[in-house]
Amino acid sequence: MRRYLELSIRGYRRYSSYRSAVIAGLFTNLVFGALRTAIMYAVFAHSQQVGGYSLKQAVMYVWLAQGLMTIVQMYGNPEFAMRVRTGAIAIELTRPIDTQGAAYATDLGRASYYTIFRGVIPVAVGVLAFSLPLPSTANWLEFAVSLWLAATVSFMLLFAYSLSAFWLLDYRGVTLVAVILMNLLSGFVIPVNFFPSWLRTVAMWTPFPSTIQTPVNIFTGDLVGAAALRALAAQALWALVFLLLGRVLFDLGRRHLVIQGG
Amino acid sequence: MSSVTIYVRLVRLQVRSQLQYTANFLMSILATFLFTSLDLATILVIFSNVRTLGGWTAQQVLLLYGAAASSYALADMLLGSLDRLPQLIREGNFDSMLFRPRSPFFQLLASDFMLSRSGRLIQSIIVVIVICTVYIHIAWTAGAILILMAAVISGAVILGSVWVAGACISFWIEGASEFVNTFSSGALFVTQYPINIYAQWLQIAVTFILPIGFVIFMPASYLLHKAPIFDMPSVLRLFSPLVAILAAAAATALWRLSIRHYRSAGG
Repeated sequence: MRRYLELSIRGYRRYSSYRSAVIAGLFTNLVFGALRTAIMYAVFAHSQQVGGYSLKQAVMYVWLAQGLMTIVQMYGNPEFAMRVRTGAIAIELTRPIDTQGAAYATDLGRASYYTIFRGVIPVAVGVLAFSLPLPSTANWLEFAVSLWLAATVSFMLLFAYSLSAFWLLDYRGVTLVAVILMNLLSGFVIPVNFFPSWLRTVAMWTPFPSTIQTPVNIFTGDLVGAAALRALAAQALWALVFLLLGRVLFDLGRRHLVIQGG
Repeated sequence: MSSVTIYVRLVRLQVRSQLQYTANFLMSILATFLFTSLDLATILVIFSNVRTLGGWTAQQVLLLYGAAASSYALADMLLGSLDRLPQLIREGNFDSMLFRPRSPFFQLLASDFMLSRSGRLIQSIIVVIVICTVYIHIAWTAGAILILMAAVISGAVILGSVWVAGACISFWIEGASEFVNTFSSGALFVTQYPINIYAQWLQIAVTFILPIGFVIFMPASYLLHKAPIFDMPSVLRLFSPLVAILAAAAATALWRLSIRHYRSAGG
């Protein structure tokens, strides 16, 4: 357990050393948060409720999505697939530690760093600039669990599809399809609640809403009580599915792997 | 040989080498196509909830989206290599372009020409054609078509000028590339929606300071008989080509000034 904790701390430190990248990223979050807020105001110009949201909830949605996007790596991360592709994975295999577990621990360090520096700030700006209501104390615990599960689902999913690099010469195609699906179906570019019902049904049968839509709905108080617990269970289930899929694929890939050179 | 001739030759070489890997090339075109469609999907989802956005119907916003995305795609095909400038400067490789007796600007543009960027252009042109022919009730007179085409080309020039100006920042400040990216992707986002939905200060900024309001929005609002923003004279909205020329001139001047200011990062 200590080893994993140590890896998490390293993951955190690694990202904390790129301060100017964080500032630039925050700037992007603020610009797009403001633009998407303007769209929401226009959407709500003639109605009090859209997709079950009030204007305040929808604006809160925009800023939370901005805060969550780096935590759940909305645009993917080629790092692990690159390790498989370049053969650097061989070194991982010699280490006396579970590869998936080690990568997950490191990633949780990264996610915690982004939660503090890329998550809290955009949300705080949104809340202050548009005087948005914060959730009641009861929701905070559920939100914290949901946030952790969102980071876990997105990591397990990313890990599983990155392993396609064991079999495919060019893993970028798979990555890109995954990123596009995630952008749309997670509710990042537009809330899942706004989807026409058929697309909403499609989205709900995928793991993607677990990364954005679920934590946001718990934060805004759209999901409470039993519904919130059901949503958390769905997140946990998706995390488990991709955890197992990742392990199976990794095992198959390891047997398939041929490393050249001495 | 002039800079432009050399540019054309270099681009042709790049295209030829990219076409060697046919499957890969087709994949990247498809990828660009799909990724661009996310913006389209967003608009369609919005309009499954509301009838109008800032007084514009779905078809009107889609025309705006398609035409603005076409402008962006044209600019991206020609100027996409500008993204590499900060890296070239950091690694000292921009200097080698200055040594050669041809325009560093065209050398830079030719350095990373990617034909797969046309995926975006194909997608947006399809949207424009479908929307214009099937849904929009505009009398497609020769004049209207001319206005639309002039708008798309002027839009590309205006966006391109904004990017060049943005790229110039990296001659003055190190590590500003991320901010520059935000300007170009933010500009695309702004131009895809009716500008009257934004806050007053932003409307002023994109009309008079960084004139991306003239990327499609102004001519489109004229074609669709919308009330002009700021009560400006209606016909002024057709001045996109003039705005484009002014923007290009300003960007050129800034580029020259910045190159003169440039001091190499290395040795």
